Amino acid sequence: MRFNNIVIGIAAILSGSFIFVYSQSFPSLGDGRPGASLFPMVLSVLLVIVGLVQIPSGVKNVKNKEPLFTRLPEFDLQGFCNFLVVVMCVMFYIYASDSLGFLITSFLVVFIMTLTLRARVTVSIAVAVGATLCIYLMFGKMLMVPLPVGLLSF
Amino acid sequence: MVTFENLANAAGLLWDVNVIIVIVLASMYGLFVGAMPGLTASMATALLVPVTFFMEPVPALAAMVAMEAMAIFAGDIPATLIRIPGTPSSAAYVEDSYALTKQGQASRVMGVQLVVSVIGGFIGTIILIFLAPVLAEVALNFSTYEYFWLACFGLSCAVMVSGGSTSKALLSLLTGLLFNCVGIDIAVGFPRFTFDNPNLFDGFSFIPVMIGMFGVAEILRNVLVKESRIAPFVTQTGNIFKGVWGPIKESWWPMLHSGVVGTAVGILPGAGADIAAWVTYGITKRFSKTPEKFGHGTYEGLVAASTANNSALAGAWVPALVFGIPGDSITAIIIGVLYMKNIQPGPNIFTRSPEIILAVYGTFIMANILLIPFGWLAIKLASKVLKVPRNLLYPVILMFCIVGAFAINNSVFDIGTMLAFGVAAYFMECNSIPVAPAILGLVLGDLLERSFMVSMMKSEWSLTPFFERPISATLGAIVILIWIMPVLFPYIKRKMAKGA
Repeated sequence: MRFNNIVIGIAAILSGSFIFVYSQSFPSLGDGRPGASLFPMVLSVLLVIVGLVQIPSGVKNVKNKEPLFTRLPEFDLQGFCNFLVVVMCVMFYIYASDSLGFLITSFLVVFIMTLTLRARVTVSIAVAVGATLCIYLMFGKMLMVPLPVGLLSF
Repeated sequence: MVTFENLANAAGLLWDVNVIIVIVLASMYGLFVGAMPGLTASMATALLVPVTFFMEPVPALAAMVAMEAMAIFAGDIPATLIRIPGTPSSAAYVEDSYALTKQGQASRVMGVQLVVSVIGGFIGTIILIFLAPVLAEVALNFSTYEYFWLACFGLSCAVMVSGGSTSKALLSLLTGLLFNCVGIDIAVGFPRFTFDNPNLFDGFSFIPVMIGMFGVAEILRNVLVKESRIAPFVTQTGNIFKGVWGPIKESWWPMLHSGVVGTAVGILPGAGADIAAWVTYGITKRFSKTPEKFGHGTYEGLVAASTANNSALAGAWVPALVFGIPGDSITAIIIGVLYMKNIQPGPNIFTRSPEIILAVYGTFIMANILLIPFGWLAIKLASKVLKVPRNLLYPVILMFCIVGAFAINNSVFDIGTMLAFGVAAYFMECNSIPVAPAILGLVLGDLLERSFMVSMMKSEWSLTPFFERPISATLGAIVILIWIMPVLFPYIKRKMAKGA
């Protein structure tokens, strides 16, 4: 997804304004000089200025019939599904790994993703099993990373 | 200080079976990632961090040096065979190398690229070995004022050299600096933008952010590309070193000056191997007797740019080691690794841990020597590497990203951080907002704020000391000149045009 510079500019202005207001609540140094708020406030003001700079070029593009949002050619239905599956797989791992454990969650993540990317079921299963075991041995056993055990805690 | 004892210590650290195994494995990993279109050397470095996290400093650094040298060369292989650069550093001369491949010279092209990559690597390493200690001597006299200006210089360079719109590069930089503000502040110890989430008290963990911005963003970009858009694979056999010396002899001068220019570009904060390749390709074309042949299959530009991208790698280590300011995205990640190992990059590292510096030099030399047999092997195996189905590769890389992000703090929160920054980096690139300035903002933000706040407290809120010390004043003047250049240049241009 490609955004017109107007959208980028407005987003920067809104973010900068929020940060500026929010930073006011940060405590200052004992003698009344700026403390924790100094850098965020300076940066937020600069962010607003950079946001404002984006607007004229965005307006020019709108005059040249450029829409506010442009769908990139690769972002078709299949592309969007692939994109979404990557995001969902990571979120699935975040929420499910603790209860299901690394081995099951990793298998499911790799299996679902390879299937979505149009691999055959048998190949997907083989890759998911192989990758999961490889990563488990490397990180869990060799590097002693405490990967979640979950259902397989026997 | 280079003494016999330090050299012996460094040699002892490198001449260890474990270190050699690490270098060999990292080299093979670098060659694979570099040869695989769509996977970048930065992504490979970010993914290597969780593994190096569990190593001693010397093997960890050796792994990264060997990996990046191999990856940057290996990027030339798919560029030559299927017209897709394996890494962005090979993009500048992809048209030339593929045009030569279509003329049946693929083996020779890859042979030339391999040899000049090694030569470029050595030029960069020699400059690194001689320049870094000299700069470190100077940097020993630096105080917070000089470091503040150095941080400003690094950040300004990152914006200026990122290519494309300066305002968008500035937007990227400000985003990185603002994300760096998250966590307990250095002035009064107040938790900023943490929203009572204890995971944010120390700020965003750097490595998951890097894995997200390079690894996840790369996967997101690649899963959208359809395999059918990839050019057919060209099988080439024969001796890759046959006829290599001819093109190198003809282009020896572009090769040498590109090696030096490439290292200089690498030294500039924010500009890495890819920019070095583009800059030297442009310079060589500008001074060539046959500029019209560029892009249609000439060795001249290819030799120059291929030398430069490898020489830039060592160049990027100069500011990283001497000032703690990364020369490119890869050294930005490596600085994060050094901090994780409780090694503070800066001039003191040359006196406190000289064996580490010498080991880095040694690894660069070793990696460049190893590049010849390993590069030859990679070219011979290219047909197999390029046939690895990418729909099977990306899910496995994603799983590595997830576990890698988790491994740093054993925290699921870091996986979320990785995802958020990955998606953000993807959308930034879609909208022509360069990612490199944001990364430099994240790396240098702390140095910038700390040096400024400490300086202000020392000077009782007077700005004068920033311009009182000679080096500080010089650096300040350079930085201010960089800031006003975008305004001043068009004005001077207009004046000159009117005068003409």
